Amino acid sequence: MAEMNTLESGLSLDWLNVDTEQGITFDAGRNGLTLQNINALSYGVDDRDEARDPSWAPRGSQPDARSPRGSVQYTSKSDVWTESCMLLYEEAVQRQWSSTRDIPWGTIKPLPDDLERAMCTLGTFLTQVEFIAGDVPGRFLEQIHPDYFESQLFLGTQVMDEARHLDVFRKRILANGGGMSGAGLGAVQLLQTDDFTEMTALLHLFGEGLVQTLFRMGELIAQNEAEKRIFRLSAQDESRHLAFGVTHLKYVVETEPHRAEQLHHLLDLQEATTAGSQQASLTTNPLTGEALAILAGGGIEHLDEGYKMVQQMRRKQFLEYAHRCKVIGIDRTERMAPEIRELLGDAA
Amino acid sequence: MELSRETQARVRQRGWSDELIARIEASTATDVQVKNLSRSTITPDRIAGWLDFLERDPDNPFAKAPLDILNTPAETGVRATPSAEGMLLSDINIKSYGVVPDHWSSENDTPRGTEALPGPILPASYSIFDKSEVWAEGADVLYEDAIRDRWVPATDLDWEGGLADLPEEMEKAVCQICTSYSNNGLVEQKIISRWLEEISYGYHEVKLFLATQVYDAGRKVEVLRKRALSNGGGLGQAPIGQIYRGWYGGLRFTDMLTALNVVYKSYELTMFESASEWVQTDLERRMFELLAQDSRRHLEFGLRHTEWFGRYHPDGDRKLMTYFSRGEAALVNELRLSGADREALVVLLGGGVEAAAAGVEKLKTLRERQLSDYLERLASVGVDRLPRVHPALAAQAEDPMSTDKVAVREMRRR
Repeated sequence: MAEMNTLESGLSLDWLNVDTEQGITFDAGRNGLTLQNINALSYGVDDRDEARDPSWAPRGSQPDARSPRGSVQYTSKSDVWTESCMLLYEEAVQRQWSSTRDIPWGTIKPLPDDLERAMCTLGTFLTQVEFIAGDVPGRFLEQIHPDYFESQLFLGTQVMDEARHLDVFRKRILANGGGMSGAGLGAVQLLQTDDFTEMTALLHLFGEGLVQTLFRMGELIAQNEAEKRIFRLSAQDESRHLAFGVTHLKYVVETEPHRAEQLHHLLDLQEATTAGSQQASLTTNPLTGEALAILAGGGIEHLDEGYKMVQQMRRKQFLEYAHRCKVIGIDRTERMAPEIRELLGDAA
Repeated sequence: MELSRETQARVRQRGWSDELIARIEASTATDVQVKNLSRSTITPDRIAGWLDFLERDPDNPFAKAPLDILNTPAETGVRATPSAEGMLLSDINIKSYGVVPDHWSSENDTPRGTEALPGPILPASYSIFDKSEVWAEGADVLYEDAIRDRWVPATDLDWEGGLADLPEEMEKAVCQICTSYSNNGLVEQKIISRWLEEISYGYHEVKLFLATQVYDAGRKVEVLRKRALSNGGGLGQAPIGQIYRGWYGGLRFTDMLTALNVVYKSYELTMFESASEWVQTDLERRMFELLAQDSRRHLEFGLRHTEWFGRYHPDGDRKLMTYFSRGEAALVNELRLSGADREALVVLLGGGVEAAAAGVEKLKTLRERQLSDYLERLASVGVDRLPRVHPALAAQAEDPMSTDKVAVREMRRR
């Protein structure tokens, strides 16, 4: 057909005879037409442990022989992949929310200065952290080969999520008379990461893991329904980011077991840095610890109660972290920083 | 401990009683703690409650907490009022928090509206600190629009009933277009996201908007791939990618944005807006409506930045002319060298291979519209590009099947 029509039309019609799999009809499932639904045959990723030459051509398409090469792309699936990225991407798209409309801003009422300032201090810190948490994955999208594009798509949703977190915490800070606090050391050091898996270990597993526990305990520190909703929705997002990180690291350990020691070493350093932080803070920023204790206790006169709850929170953070490490396949029991092990007690 | 004169004055101004002051001075409280407390409106009975805590649990780490949270260098007392639509970014861009400086001096992640605390500072990798290099008036509104207009390819399109069996050549032609634009989305996402870490915190609205574009680009990748694999076709020929070199070749933010968000997006938008002339099914009609809605925001951001840059950046107009020339050259090379896309469009516009002549005429009309839309959009922000538009791009509107010599950046003296 194509040859005859070429003569009649003056078109080459080469594209009608591309060397790609044709006759494809993937059907929608219960959740609509998802990435998992179309991940099969030559369009699927399952047997591609190594990517084609660095390129910009999508998986399953016919590359143009004239195309320039992509500049910096990982070509090993292990470097960027997780079996969960399609599922997590679809979930992210389904669960986008609006800081403008989905938060009951009207439930925020005037608070005593200590509680208002504490929430604003925490919010200031979180806008710093979320700002960086968008920049860091943003750097790595271009390094993902198109053969593993689903991983790139997921990180694109994370960039969006982090923007929304910055936005929602800034809105909260300016909604009730508190205002910003001074900016402490935020999370700039995360920009020093130079490798996808390192980024995942430090940003997703460690950083977002700690933040996710905090958000899930948001009920304890929220002073109104708006803040509860902010923490609940943000926690939902963080859970996806965390799941991406944990499943990627698990994939790395399963497919390249020799890299487990590399991950251990990274976490040795990160734990030591965090354990050396001042006061009972959750971060290296002492203001944040102070703010959390005031919020958790319910005011400056209940800082003893607040301290207990912050300690519980911190313990929970590291218990969950330790559990995630086991899931990944890097048991930290013997190597965990002594200060953290002490915090966990027998549970370590 | 005896309170300093300053703190004494502060607490008396707050109306704290002599009895309370005496109790403070007899406690383990520090002057810093009391000074910070005196900055607040916390009532004396609660101050007494805090003293109770110090007595009750003197070894608690927070008994020594300086209560610095009560001492902020930033403006307090700001109470944003939500609009009818909810709490918009424009609602919180008030008082000192709404001032977007011409130059942003913080090298780390200090948010706009506050200052870094005393102590160590770790500068980040940001390279853009001037408003003229990155700003677009109304970026906050475009961000909010993007959030409001979100859609879900998996469930917002009728994958069950919105498609129909098509003749093989028509199905392959649709799939070819989907392959190319899906791929464009993939590279668009890479390019935009890599620029995020260049932009400092003073211009966070721009970063927020760009995050939505990163997200939108991913959705474009997703939905067009799904369409290509859902109706009996498959992916086609990948783009040559010459245009990506144009995007990647942008050494400055405005250079990149001109090539991607103005030159390319204008052509993309007109292409998507014209989809009713070449789509084959209801699903595609709806899909391209939604994609056009996204592209319109991206283009709008690009145009507003163009306007800002031209007005406020040193030699902005002259630089823009070079950027446009470069972006147009990259686009026209893609148009001329991508025979697959061109022919697929001819087939779709004509209604089949046998109607290629009619298809070519319609493609010419589309290219004319793309060019005139592009020029009009630029004119709307004060850029008269008509006398300088790349000759090869203008030639595409006259002969869209032309594949002659490769375009280079046109450099002309004024």
